[in-house]
Amino acid sequence: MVDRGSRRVIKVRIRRGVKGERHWTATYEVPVEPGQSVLGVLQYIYEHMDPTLAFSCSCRIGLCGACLVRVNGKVVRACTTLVEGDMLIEPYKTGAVVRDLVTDLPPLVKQQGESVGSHPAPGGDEAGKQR
Amino acid sequence: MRDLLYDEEILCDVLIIGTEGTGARAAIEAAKQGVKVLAVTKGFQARSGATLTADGEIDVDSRSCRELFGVPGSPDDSPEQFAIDMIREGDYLADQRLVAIHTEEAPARVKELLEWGARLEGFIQAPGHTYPRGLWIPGLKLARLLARRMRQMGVSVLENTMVVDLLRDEEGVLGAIALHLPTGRILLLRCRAVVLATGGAMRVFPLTTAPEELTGDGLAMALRCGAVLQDMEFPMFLPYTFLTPPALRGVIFPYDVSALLEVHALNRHGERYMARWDPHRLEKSTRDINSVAAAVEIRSGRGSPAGGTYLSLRHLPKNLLEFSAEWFPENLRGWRAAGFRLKDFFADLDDAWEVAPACHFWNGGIRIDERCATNVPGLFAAGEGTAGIHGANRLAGNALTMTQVWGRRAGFFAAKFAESTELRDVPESRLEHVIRKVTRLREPSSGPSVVEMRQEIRRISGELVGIVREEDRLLRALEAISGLREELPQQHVEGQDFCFNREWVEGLQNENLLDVLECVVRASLVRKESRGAMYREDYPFTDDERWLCNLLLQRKGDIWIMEERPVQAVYVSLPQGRRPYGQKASPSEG
Repeated sequence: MVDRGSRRVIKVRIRRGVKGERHWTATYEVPVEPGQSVLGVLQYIYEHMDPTLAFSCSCRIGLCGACLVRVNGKVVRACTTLVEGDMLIEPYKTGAVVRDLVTDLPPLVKQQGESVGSHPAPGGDEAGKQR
Repeated sequence: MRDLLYDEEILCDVLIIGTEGTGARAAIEAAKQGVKVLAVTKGFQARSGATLTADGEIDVDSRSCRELFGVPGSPDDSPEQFAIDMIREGDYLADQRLVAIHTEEAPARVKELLEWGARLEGFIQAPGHTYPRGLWIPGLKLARLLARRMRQMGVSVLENTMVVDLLRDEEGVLGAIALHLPTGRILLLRCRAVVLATGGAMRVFPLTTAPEELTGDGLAMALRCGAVLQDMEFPMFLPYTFLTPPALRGVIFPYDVSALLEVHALNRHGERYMARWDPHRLEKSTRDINSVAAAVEIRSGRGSPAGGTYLSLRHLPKNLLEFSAEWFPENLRGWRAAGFRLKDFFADLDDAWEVAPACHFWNGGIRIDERCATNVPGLFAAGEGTAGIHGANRLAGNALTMTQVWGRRAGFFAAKFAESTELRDVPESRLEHVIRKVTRLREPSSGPSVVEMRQEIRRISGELVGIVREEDRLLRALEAISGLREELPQQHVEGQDFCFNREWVEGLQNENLLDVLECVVRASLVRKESRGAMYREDYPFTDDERWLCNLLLQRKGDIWIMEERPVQAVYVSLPQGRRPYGQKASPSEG
């Protein structure tokens, strides 16, 4: 259940950098509202604090998997994961980094056409397939 | 010798912009004709675009459903009856020739999908349909199936590539300039024919159900290339989407619940305001009327603190609510909304949800003929963002049908066109003009940031345009748009990373959003009545004597050309007279 309390400020650390180059951790103090998603936090940072942050997202409702990231060590979809407190956000897989939180996502289909199944789906893929 | 303006040149026969429902189907068909196809997408294939968010209904006439797919469809239905329903629900603005093709070809398109491995997961009747027609194939599965098929057909796919603008000469389209997002490289894509399959422009509005990419790129590029747009005053809204909490903004779960259960839509006085609009059907009225009613409440100061209305299930006794997990069909079981679990947000149903109408679909768009051809030779368009199929309002489940019927037609006719067309050189002046849009974002500037620009566009669309429109507000919107247009070349970009530069993408999208919004405003100013998805509070009636026409828009330089084209009654006769908004017309016999 979402805490109905008021806005508060959390500390968000994000692992940043370009593939094959030096990486660093950027820290942001972000005001959050009850019921805000991790994606909402990334959007806030981009819009109000640091427009150079790279991240990807599309559907925002937990279907597409484009916003796959690692939050406090756990691979999740940023859009359907609610903010709980201070957090460390990293690419979902270090080896797949393109820049900041943008990664080469696991393939849905191979070039030759055979399905290789769906990408890793945090919280069970069925959750994402609803509706 | 001077440097090339672009970084790389790619040649193909047919360039398809957009790779999901429509673009994928177009690509598959064009490849089948033996031409070289390149399909580009702004996002990741099968992980972006609107198709994967589709509930899953794909409409086919009920008799064909029964005969071809073994589901309990009605033998009394026919493609003709389906067409009549589409024309009526589109409030008579649809192009009847296109509608006839749509319903005639739908069965074969779904049959193909099943041959390619799709599975039917259900069969439903949605409001507005005389018979059950909704075959259930979830959009996410459809998107992946089509992506696989595309690869099998040998289509080249370029992901994370944003097309900036089309290139043309006097004879027609020549290709496009694109920005490759992972590298920031500028690509010259040369081709013999182009298919635009880029979807709608729902993200021009502050609240929308649409994914990130739906910023009207194709509509705006077509306009800038000289193509005619039509019915741009009819963006479609869904009446009940979450407004709070922030993570759920625009999620359509409340609307789905409203279709399945008796819900109470309330204003801040606790009044079921739908009684004033549709006293018999109340919240079960059509979604255009529900959206208009909600928007009127909000605009009249009877809304919620966050600027919405309320949707309540409080009238249901607590000991019945215990069974709520059993109420819904498969797609809503367990109070799940897409990837969200609602029990993470709401402890019980004692409180009403704060909801508001969100932009969901683009009824109008690029004007096409039966071959998906635009007025620009070599430029084809299909799917959402083309006009004439849905008229002023779309039937539920008909968006996916549109992707398959019209995607295939566009792919076929674009391939045929390409076979008889030579590649031509691109005039340097046009090349420079388009590439300048990208390179300008790489230069220091003191103008508004791209984020401020986008926020301002959405403020104008939300406050001055919206669902409930009025002359004075529309004129103010036009003035504000013209002010922003002057600032557009000076947009400020903070970061200059070449790899996935979000600001560059937004900077380019802002021009598209502005172009599309101006079309909406100009068309809404001309149409002095209320119809389907469009409501003018200063003209709250539907006037079939005066306004049974499509509004065509074209821009030549700075000059806008508007034309009224009367609707042709090819198969279904047209209504007459004047009626209050929301009252269905009874067409004259014929």
